[in-house]
Amino acid sequence: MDRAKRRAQMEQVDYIRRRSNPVQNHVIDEVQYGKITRREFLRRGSLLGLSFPVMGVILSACGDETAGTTTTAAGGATTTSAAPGTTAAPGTTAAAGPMTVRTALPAPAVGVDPVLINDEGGLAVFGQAAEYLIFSDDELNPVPVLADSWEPSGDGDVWTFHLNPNATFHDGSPVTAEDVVATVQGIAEGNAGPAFQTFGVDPGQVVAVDPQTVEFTLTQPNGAFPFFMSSDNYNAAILPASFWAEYTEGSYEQSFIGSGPWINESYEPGVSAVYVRNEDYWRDNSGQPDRLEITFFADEAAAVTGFQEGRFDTIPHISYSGATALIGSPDASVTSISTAQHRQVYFDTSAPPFDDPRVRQAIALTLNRPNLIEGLLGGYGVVGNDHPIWENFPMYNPDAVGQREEDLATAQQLLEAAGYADGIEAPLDTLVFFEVEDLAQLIAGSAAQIGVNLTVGVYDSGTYYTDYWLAAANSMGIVNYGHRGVPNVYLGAPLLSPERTGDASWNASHWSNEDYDALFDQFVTSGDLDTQREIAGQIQTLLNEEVPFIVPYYVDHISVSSPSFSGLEVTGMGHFSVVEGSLSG
Amino acid sequence: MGKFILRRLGLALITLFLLSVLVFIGTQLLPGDVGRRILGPFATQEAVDVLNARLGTDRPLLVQYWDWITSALTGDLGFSISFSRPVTELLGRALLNSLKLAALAFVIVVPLSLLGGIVAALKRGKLVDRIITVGGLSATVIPEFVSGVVLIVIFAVFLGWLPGFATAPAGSGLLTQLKHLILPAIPLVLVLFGYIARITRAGVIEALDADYTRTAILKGLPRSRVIRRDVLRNALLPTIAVIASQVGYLVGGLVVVEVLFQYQGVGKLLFDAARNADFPLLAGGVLVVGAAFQVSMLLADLAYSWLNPRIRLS
Repeated sequence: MDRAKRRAQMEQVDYIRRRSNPVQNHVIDEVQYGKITRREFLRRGSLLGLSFPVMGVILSACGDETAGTTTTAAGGATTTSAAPGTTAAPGTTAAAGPMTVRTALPAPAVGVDPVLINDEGGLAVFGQAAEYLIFSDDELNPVPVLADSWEPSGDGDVWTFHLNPNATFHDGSPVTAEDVVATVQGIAEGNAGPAFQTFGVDPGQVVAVDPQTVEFTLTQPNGAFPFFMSSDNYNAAILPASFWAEYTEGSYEQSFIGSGPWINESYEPGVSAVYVRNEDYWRDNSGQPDRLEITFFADEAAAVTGFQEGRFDTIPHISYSGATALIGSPDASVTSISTAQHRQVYFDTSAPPFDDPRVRQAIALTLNRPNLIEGLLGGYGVVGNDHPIWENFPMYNPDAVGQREEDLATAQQLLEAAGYADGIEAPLDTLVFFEVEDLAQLIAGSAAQIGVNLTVGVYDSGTYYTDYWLAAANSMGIVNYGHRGVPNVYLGAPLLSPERTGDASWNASHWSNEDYDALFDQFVTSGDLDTQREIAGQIQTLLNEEVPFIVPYYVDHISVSSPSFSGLEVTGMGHFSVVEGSLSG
Repeated sequence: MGKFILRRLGLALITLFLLSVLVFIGTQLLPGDVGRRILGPFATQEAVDVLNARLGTDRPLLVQYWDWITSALTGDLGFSISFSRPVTELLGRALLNSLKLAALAFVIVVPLSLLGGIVAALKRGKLVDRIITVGGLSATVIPEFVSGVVLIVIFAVFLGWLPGFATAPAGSGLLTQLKHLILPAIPLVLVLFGYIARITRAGVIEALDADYTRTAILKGLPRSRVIRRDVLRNALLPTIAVIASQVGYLVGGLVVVEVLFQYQGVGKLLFDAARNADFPLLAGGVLVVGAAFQVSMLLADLAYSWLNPRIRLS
């Protein structure tokens, strides 16, 4: 590179630095001094509001001429990232004539309602017509959608989002800051409520500065705040203020209004939803299929049968047990992405016998995690190490603590040292959810090897969450946590001292630890990755030693498509998009 | 006759009232909290309490029952928790779907089983009789989910002749809808065939052995005419009543078939309601199914009494 070009680049970087706040400058420092990878810079930079062109200039100045959007997926596979709804070149030539994509989803457990949805079927349907400020993609990148850009204040406690001036709702009205404020206030009392506390959001402190600018003043700094307003917070799709003014439960299904690439044509609860292409979409969607037909299923086996008979082009999410009939079939293309979704096997630490960490460690040592993954997930997962910081999170600290492996002799010694040489009898309560029931039985079998006899109780979701989940009953239990782009939700309500989180606590372990609470505060308020990684390492170590819950594994997200279909995009959370879908043959 | 109908209607109303009490108590005994069900596991308890107060589910049971039953009498069965829609709207649509499936099953099974029963009776003791009676009985005892799965695997997956999903794509015409309903109708036909055919067979045999039949034959009337005019007219009396009594089962009792074939009829709606602890939908649905059974039994009684003057007069 010649000197003149180099100087011009450095002048550009200086200009960018002058216009950036201290937090943004810190991440620029990190990449310039080689403390983070380019991929990590792209992710962190976009989280902090640096645009891709700006990051491209910085990376060029750092010696990378090829900075673009080609990144490495969290799961390790190399893919090309594009924001959902944009028209990246499809993988195959689209068939001539109108194109309909047919897919199957689990029936939403409640109505399609922005306040109430709390399951995958609901959020997947909701996400077709409605859009978020930011999309949290499968590579943990915050991708701009309705928000063009965003930036934090120097302290990270005020975040400003700039909306795309071209964005419009299906009725043609522009997406404005008032709509964002109304949405945040509208969802505050519903399923998303506790997330407000985790991210330090006071709905009253969300202000429309001008029609295209909205400002969030947080109760405490939060370096990962954009994820709160991303698709990770699946209730937070932006809907018109006029909708919120007349909102009642169930009213969303009257209009399915949003700003997305699909317009709802029909919706029959528990049966189907049909969408047609939004011809006036505010982004280029010229390559989008014409129709999207979603069939709901109550039983996954029915969806598999439907796929086998050619009724569906794709099933965006399927369990391993459901996929077994299709794996290896020439008529099915089974793909997976790595996710942070995990099961937490928690102990009631508030009373004997599980108030003693040695007992908890002993049971954790009885598990043969690779065997569990192979047996229950067919290998579609990665081992956990009894903390919820997934190995693909950038702040994961690989040097913090060694992987816990099966060690029955040590487990027996720990149990005896804790005074339970004669064994333990306790309940293990869980819910009907994918392989969790089988996991409970296998844990009971493993624990029995050291004299811990667990009585497995399996309940429907409603009964479990109402009567067992947070009940202190000298028991163990298993609960599921879905994928998130950052671990803040996992580290907040499920682990903070119950007396601190109060009504918003999800702490099924009843575990209370002042050191942890302090570490959590440091973690969420730290702006730079180095510090976060250091604190994450301490958290990983503390949780691995204390074991308020076991994390036996993280679960991959499996999808299946027919060989003639391409262009399915999914996230670990359960969102899917076929905007770039195409059918061949 | 009018008195008879009034008495039957009165009994039906009493039955429905008792059913409503049982349904209401039953749904209240289900574990779980309505507000929690609606808002999901991660909502705060405060939000759940506010919603429960707004919905009135924190009031005494008697007050809740009174509100529910008085609203039900005006046609308002409440609001579904899981679907966020009025229960009557959901039930109306599901009832229509169930009636379509029931109608197709009836169209197939009634002539088939009548014919089978008559042939078996006329060939009493012969191989054809044995095949129809034993085959029919065997088909009846095969659970719907077994025959349904076998049918799906053979005809939908391997041969690809018929769809395994009973719900036709949105906007489909009548023929497409019929095509989707053929496979789910077959298990119902199998269940009902043996039953109806045996009743028919027994009736025909009884009529064949009756004095009036012997007299007609001795009078020199052709056998075919005797069978058509004397035997069948008397023999089908109990059969018609039995067929009418199956309407209730076909409208509200097809949980397994509707779930297996993903058909949004009353049975699957009730299944979804029970699974999601959707109290209003479950209670309203059971009440409607109860009413369907009552209507079905009433129709059976009316048909029987209309055809049999001895019953009518008593």
